Amino acid sequence: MATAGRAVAWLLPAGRRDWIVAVWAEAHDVPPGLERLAWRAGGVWMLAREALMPRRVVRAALFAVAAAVAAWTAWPDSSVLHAAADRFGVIATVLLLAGLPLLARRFIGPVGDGWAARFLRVGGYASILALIPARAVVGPYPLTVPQRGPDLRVFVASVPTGCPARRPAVPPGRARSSSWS
Amino acid sequence: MTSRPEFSAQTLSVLAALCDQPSQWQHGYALARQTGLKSGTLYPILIRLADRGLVEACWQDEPAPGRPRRHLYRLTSAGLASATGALASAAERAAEQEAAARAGTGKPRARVRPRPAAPGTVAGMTS
Repeated sequence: MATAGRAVAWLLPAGRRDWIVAVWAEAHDVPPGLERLAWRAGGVWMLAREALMPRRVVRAALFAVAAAVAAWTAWPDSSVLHAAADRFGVIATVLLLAGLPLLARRFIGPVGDGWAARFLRVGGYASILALIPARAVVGPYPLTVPQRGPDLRVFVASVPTGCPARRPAVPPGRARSSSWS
Repeated sequence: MTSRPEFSAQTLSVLAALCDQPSQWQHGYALARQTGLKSGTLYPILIRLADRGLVEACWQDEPAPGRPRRHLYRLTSAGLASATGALASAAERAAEQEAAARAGTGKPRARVRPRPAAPGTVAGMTS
């Protein structure tokens, strides 16, 4: 198996090859059976992570594609009333989504462990990106019922941290604007 | 407000395990047992720490007969300083959160029978 480890190590960048060989070599000291199998499976997982990785790059590329598609779908025509403001809204939303994880990581720390925090982040991003074109479709029809739920921007702000949003304090009787921009 | 956490909980548990015997070389399986982390989580953490110059790695000089050489790890001096600070901050944060939780509920928390701390664990944090 150590030979197998060395054989697949070429998949990794030069500076990483020792590490996969190390995992394989260490498996000899893990009790045989399921535990050793799990150890080797972890090695395969690490190999996949490190070889296919730059996960950050993959995530950023996925976000860039999704954001570009959403912005392209929602991009207002010049003939539309308030086209400039709507365009600003689309750009601002995408920039906000792109920048918030960096700010959140800097000031709050890495995203919480566990599937719930990651689900909240991915789900939140997907929702916001889906809402950009959805709003462009619904936009021409003004909403007559004032929105009373939590402000969408607060939800957006909570997404990068994986933390539940608190309802913001709003002066009573003040209706929220239906537009983001 | 405390400063932001620099390391994830898993990374802190690895640092704590390495801090136990900072001058000793340790192998991956021992670290995995101490921290409870799987190899697929442990090794990427070690890689990142080594990339940052906090952990140094080397190959065993004389392997046991019939066994491949093992990869060994220990904290660098910069790693030891960084780990000590991060673990102290984590303990402080855990204590603050505990105090805030008690103040928030206004009720005394149920008594928990203290358990002997496993080597490599961080106060107020599970690995």
